[in-house]
Amino acid sequence: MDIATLKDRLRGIVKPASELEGSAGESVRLKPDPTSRATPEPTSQERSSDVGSGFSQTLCGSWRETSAGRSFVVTHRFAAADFHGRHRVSEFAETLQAASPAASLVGRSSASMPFIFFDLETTGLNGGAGTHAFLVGCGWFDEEGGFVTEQHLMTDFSGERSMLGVVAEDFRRAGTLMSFNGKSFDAPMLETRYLFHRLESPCANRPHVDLVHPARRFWGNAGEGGCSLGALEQQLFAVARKGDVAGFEIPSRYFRFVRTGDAQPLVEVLHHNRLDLLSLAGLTARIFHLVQAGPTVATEAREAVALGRVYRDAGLEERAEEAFERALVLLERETPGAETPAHWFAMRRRERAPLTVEALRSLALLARRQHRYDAAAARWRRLVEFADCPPHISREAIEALAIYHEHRARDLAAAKVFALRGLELEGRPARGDAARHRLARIERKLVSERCSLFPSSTLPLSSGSPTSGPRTSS
Amino acid sequence: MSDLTPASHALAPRIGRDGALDAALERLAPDRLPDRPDTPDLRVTAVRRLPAVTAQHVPFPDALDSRLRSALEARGIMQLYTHQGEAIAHALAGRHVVVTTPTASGKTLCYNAPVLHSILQDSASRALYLFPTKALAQDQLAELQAMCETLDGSTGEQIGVFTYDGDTPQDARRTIRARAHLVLSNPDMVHSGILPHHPRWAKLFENLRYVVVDELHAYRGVFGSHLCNVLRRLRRICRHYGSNPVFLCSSATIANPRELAERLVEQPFELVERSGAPRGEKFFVFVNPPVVNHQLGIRRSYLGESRRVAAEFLKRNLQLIVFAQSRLATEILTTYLKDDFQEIPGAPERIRGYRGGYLPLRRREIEKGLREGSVRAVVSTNALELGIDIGALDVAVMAGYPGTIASTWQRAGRAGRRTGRSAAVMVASSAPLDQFIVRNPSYFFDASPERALIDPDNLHILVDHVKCAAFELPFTATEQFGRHPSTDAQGSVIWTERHDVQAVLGILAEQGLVHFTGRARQDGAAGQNGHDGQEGPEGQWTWTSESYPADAVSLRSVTSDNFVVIDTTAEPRVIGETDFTSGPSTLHPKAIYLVEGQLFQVERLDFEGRKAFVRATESDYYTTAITYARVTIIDTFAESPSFASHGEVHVVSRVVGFKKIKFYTNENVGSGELDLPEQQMHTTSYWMTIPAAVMARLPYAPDDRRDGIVALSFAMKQVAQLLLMCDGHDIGISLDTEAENPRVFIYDNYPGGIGFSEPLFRMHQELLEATRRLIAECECENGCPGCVGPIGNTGPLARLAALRILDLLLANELAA
Repeated sequence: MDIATLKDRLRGIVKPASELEGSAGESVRLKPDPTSRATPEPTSQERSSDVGSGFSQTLCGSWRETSAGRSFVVTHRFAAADFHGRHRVSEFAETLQAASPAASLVGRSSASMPFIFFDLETTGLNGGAGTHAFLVGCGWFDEEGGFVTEQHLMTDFSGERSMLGVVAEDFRRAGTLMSFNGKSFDAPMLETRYLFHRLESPCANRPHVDLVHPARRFWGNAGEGGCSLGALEQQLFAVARKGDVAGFEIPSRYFRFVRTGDAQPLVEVLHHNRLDLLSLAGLTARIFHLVQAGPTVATEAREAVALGRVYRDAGLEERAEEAFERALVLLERETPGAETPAHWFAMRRRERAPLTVEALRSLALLARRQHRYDAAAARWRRLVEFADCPPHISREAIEALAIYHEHRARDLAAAKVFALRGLELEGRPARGDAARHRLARIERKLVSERCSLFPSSTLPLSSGSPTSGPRTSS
Repeated sequence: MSDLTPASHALAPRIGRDGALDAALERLAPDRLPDRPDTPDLRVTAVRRLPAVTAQHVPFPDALDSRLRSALEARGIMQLYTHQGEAIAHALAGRHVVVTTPTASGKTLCYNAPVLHSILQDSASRALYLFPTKALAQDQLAELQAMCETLDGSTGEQIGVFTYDGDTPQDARRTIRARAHLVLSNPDMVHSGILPHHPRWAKLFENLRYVVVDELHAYRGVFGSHLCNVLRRLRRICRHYGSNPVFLCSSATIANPRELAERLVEQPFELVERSGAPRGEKFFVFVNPPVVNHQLGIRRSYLGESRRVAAEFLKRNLQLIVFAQSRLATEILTTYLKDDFQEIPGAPERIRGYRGGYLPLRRREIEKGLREGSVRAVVSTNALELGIDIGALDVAVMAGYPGTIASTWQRAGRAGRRTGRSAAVMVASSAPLDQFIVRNPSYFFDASPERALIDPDNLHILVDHVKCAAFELPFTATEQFGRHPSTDAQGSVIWTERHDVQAVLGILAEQGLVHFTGRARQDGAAGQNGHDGQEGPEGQWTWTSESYPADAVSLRSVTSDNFVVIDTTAEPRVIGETDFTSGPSTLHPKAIYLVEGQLFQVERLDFEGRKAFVRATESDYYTTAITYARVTIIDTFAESPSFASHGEVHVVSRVVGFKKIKFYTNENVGSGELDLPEQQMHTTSYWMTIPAAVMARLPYAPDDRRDGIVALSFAMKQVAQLLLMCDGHDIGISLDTEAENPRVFIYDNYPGGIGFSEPLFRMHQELLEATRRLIAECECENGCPGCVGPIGNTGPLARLAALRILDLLLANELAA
């Protein structure tokens, strides 16, 4: 096959495939995005003149050379007085400064200053050796309360290794790395790039606090957009981005830059990344503040429960208890007045029930761990009485109460009542066996208790079989 | 039996079994001693005796780690069979080796020994094992782990053995990457799960000493062509990490194990083919169910016949395996045998079915029952053909010819102990291939088995893997991808790249999938905005798409374009997929579609949307599509004076109708017409031109002459399938009867071709002779499904006309 035939044949093979995949993705993403359609493809002449210095002017960046490598860096500073939504940048800085000890609680490991926020823009979401982090954005607060960002841009694939060297230096300055979903996405992605070049990843063995999980705990169903950073910045800071570039457009904009040398499509990508970094910093300040100031500043039951979890996971049991108690108080307060519409109440009830259950259960478990068995039993009892308690929690509570009455309160009659109720609720055979076993043991104890009170000959048979113990209303 | 001495207690059960086997064989073929002439017209057409062979031993090689030697001795292996010694010596010396010895000859030690040796010598060493299925990897895992436990005791070091496949839980994967010395996987997982993530496997690739490819013969046709490319990618990644692994392959008996290994790995190989393992005496019996309707050429059901044969052995308490050709046939035969041998209530089941689709736990239980002897008979699909350990059984019964000589030997090998007698019985169905084999026993026993063919440079397959490779590691401006053997003027083999990968990359760049940067090649073929100066690093092609190309490439088909099958019986759900090429012929409206023995009928085919909507149904027939294909020759690669050619063709095919075929009897019970869009493809083809002079000498009317060609092509296709070791749908057939010199095309039914045409061209003579035998020896009067096609397809003179054409062609050939 001569080369011309080969090329024709190849075009026939490559093209239909990508057209067919089109509906699923590839070629759709490869189409020039609508925002940049206005910019025509540069001719080769334009391109060659642009290649040398074009992007440094367009993106307002410069080359940084260190012993570790060479990287194209775009530096930007949000001034302390600038607004991000309805908050000043300086507010974030001050709040974070004051609340910095909370980092260790949230991150569940020692986290020291300085904090460096980071966020990647990548050529795809699938990972693997062929997916690159083309932009590594880092940010931190400076002495004056401004927010500085440094964005490393991979201007050419062959420059990746060198860029990663410089990025590593930046990361190594961090006492703690801060990210949004970075433990699942950004850090593994970077790790792959470093592994690819047989370099040590600067993320490895460095304190890293990923705010996505705490954020979900505090504001789990933040508005329509779920718990994304975008939804959170809207809800918490009232940030409204104008003309923001959509996430799915980002890779194709980068490929366009790589092919043409025209950096214009990247201007908005870099801006997007900077805003993400700033929102991440604000979010971090808000979470740390709540954790630092304690349950009294929580204004919603959800926040109080989230705080309780953070404290509990950090081993601060007293504060955790305080937070869960606070949650219960806030939940009580939300009980509707006479004028509240019924449907609103029904909706709130659906949202509140899991919070009530979690607060009560956590309090019960905390009390039990501290050997305050009576207090624990009181929580379990409230759970059993709580109408919206899901069955598996009810079972757990009833089992705990049976144990409590058998071993702690030594009220075998009450223990038996709970054991019987537990047996009724138990769905799984294996667990049912355990419940039956408990019941049998309690009954044996009941019999021997009576035997020790009355010698066997005097046992009043008329009082019924040993199984019909005294019943409380249930 | 006079040599039976009371002293040999251990021999008693063995001799009891041998006696039972003799008695059953005697029932099957009364008064017929083995090794007498074949009798194609009788029920038992052949009985062959394969004599016992004694073991040939060699001591452990001196170089072998002494700890490994003690571990082997602890497991009762005091010395090696000769083929093991030979293979281990090659492996230790760093030579690629392919071992092809029979089932149960201790093949696994040939590769396990050098692998474990290398880890004992250097605990950083790693090995990658590739099995064609997940089940085989699981089976080997147990054996390797036991071996490693013995070793751990003596070395104090833990050797990590893990399977890594689609079933491996996400949270276990990181541990495996860090701790596995031996990774047991399959080509699909390496393709989509390991190579694209190679940075995470850096430790493996840096230290990869051995790659084991088990069941090499499974990698032929499309799957093999893909595997070759996966191995190109693997070796490329190894080079990146500075390793150069030695390949250790094992294969069932095929005609060209070394050639296949060399084509797959693109490296020279050593071949070890003389087994030193002992083997007991074995009888091989061919059974042809008797004809019940001479005119239509219909024989008694082969399933019923298999049931009778199996019962003869089973009632003499011999342990057996019955191989069936489909999942449905497996279930039916299991039911038959259970009916014949009522189980004792409460006792362990003595008769079991076994096939893919059974839960792993159930399969393990059946395998164990077979090893321990509590399961007396298992009816299986080809799932038990490959190396799963089920111990050695007394008898293997094959219900239907397995399709290839290699696979028949493999299945027969499931019966056979190292000492004592065993038997293998093949019961032919009425399919042409079966009939040819059963009536020509020497074709099976004396001919070499099939050649496994691949074409890794099929452009469709190649392009897919170039994409994957570019994703994994940028291509340099001078890099090549793969080598193709050819013979130079002096007759020595030279390896060159068949298609210029730089050209492929150039086309991918046009689509924006890759991008070239840096210094271009000297000839300036590559590069768009690269600097044209000489400074700077060598240019490279980088993947510039956010897609993950391996996800779009299935190793089992040529193009990723496919039809999905949606079951609408209840909630719509996807139950299968079919590649684009065979979509219309298997998923046309009213087609019967089979999944795990369950029948579905296609209600609607959405051709544009690539979807087929099906509903569960009950029917006693299946469907076959009637496809008309028109072939145009684009380029003739070679022509022989004996009317054969091969080359590149353009095929336009259309499914015009379908036939309903009754299960078991293969009766035609109805038909329908269809109106489906045309499909087009470039592929390669073999063709035979029948000279006008030959046509002119036929003493028949033009219509009958035409029928003769149709009949001839039907039979040729069956034989071609036999010669090429391929499935029916791998090749297509087309006729050009209008021309003065009519042509019969047998083309590769895959876009781009898969390497069948050129070998078929070389086997032209054999093809004609075997086709003549198939037609001439058939007992039917005017054609039947076993030779030139069912009567009704063609006129009453078709069979004679076909024979006459063949005679004239063969006579001409002799003259030439």
